Amino acid sequence: MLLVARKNLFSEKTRLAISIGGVALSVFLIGILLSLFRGWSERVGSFVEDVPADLWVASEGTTDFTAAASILPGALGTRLELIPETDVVAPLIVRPMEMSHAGNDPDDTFDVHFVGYDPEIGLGGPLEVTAGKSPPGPGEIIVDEQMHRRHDVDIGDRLVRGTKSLTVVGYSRGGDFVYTQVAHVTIETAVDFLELDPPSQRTFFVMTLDDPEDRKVFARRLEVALPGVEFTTGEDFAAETRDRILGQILPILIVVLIVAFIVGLAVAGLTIYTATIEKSREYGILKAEGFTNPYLYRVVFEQSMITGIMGFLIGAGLTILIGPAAQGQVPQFVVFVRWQDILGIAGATLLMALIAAYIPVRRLTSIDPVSVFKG
Amino acid sequence: MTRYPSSKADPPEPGHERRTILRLAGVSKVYRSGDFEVTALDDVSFHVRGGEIVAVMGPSGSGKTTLLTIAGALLRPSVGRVHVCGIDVSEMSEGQLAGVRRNKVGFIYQSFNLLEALSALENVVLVAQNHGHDKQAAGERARDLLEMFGLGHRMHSLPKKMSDGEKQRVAIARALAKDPELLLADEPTANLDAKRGHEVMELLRQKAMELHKAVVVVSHDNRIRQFADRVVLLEDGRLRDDDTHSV
Ligand SMILES: Nc1ncnc2c1ncn2[C@@H]1O[C@H](COP(=O)(O)OP(=O)(O)OP(=O)(O)O)[C@@H](O)[C@H]1O
Ligand SMILES: [Mg+2]
Repeated sequence: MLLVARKNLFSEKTRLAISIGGVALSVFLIGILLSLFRGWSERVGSFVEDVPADLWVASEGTTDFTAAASILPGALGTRLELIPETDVVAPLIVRPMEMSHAGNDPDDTFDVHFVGYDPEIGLGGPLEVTAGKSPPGPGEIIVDEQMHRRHDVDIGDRLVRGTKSLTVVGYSRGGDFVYTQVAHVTIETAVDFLELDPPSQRTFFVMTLDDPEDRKVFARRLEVALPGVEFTTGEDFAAETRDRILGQILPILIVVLIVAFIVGLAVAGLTIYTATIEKSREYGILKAEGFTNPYLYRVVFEQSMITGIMGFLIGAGLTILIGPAAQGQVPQFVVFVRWQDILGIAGATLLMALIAAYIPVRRLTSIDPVSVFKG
Repeated sequence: MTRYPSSKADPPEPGHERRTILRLAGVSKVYRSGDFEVTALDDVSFHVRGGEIVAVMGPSGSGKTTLLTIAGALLRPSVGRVHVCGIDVSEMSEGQLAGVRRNKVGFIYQSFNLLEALSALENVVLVAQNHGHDKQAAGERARDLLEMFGLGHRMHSLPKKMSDGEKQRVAIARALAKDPELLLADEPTANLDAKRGHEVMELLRQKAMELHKAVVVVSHDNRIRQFADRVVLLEDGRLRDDDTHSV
């Protein structure tokens, strides 16, 4: 490292702090946002991913779990069972809704992804019950433990929607979609609670096959045989669900990431630029003393690099420390810090430092060494 | 490092100190800015030998700095030839000129021009290293030079903590760090009081003599005369020998 670069940089402590701070802030913002995004994508897809179904069956137009606009006749389940390749078929009644605590203000609601399942089969039911009883009996509901944590829904509480209510009898794990959580009841309870008419209607069927390897081909065959019904493999259904939810935040995320990058770039660029302009005369002296332009470029470039590296280390450090700590405090703050992302941010910081050095470097060329002979 | 043709070197003369280090032949410099033309130097011919101190005297605007920067391979003449250590620098590229300045020419400026963030020692080391010394050799050389200029106790001081006289001594040490054959000083005492100015000039004269450097000191200050072997006068870009003091 060049003596001049280091000395110039560290002789102006305040400016150095500002420019490192700017880069660190930018890195931290990018890091936290990316980790949050990763955390959410892990979380929102995981329930569907973890249901061990080979195929999800829905009415045409529905390819994910969230919207649940699908309506299927109950008789379809029987038809599907009769297909020789079928192993198991389980019906699901799914309805996103808002519920409130009995006794609380009825306007004080929270989101619930309401799921009716068949406990005899189990498929599509709670992934893992961590407390209370399972399966739920008539008029009973098992809620995700995130709902218990976030909305103070305890075992024994009654959850209300309109004139109907259900008693919480257990907690399950793995059904958190960040903005909502699953809650499970039996099919019968669901029919009654939602007052379905006709009562035989279902939202989805989930199927397992004797030979899961064939599920893609099989899905296409069934779609031809059963017009108006959509067959989606488990992994596609999970991916669609994830994309549906994240697709809404992705554009915002990208904008904020770009803004964060520009903020870092602007702070680093401006401080390095002003530092270079302020030292114009000294660069002129160096030229007069026979230092070449490439040497001067290196001085500026190294200053920019040191700023970038230090800013990155602080920003990345903060991301790794604060992210998980914040998650402990705010449940929605689901972060997943991936080393690939940190590596990517390191690349972005490098780019930041390069661009920040570029403009002042061009100014260096125009400095006239003869000017240092003036007063 | 670039090698320069030495074919145009002066014929060998007995004794290192007698060699012509700087030679200007018919040098003119015209500054053009838009429609204006300023002839800063007009047909100047001039030479300096090793071990010789020449004072160039002249009023403000007479072209002293222009002469010095042309002699120091910073500026190319509009017309004429400039030889530094026998090398014709009149038509060199920027990069080649930088090479000449890096190895052959030491500048001493009116306003010292030390790098503010660097200590006295580092200022000198930097230039020694750029000349080609490795880190250790550069360090030793810088220490020796600073000791030589009575700055042993100031090695690690920053310029802003030093007096102007000390700063100019550091600057002279820096100029010598690349062991140049030519030393060029532009108004080296203008920012110093009379006593300090005298001290600095006396030191410069002594060391330059000891080391057989060719020295050009440019000034409008008459007190410079006493340190020079030879004085030339510059008026409106034209050079003439000084009648009152010559060798
Ligand atoms: N870059 C330039 N462009 C145009 N004219 C210039 C430039 N540099 C110097 N001059 C002009 O050339 C003439 C000689 O200038 P120079 O700086 O060499 O004089 P000087 O003897 O060093 O003066 P001073 O004692 O004030 O330092 C002056 O008229 C000056 O205005
Ligand atoms: Mg001048």
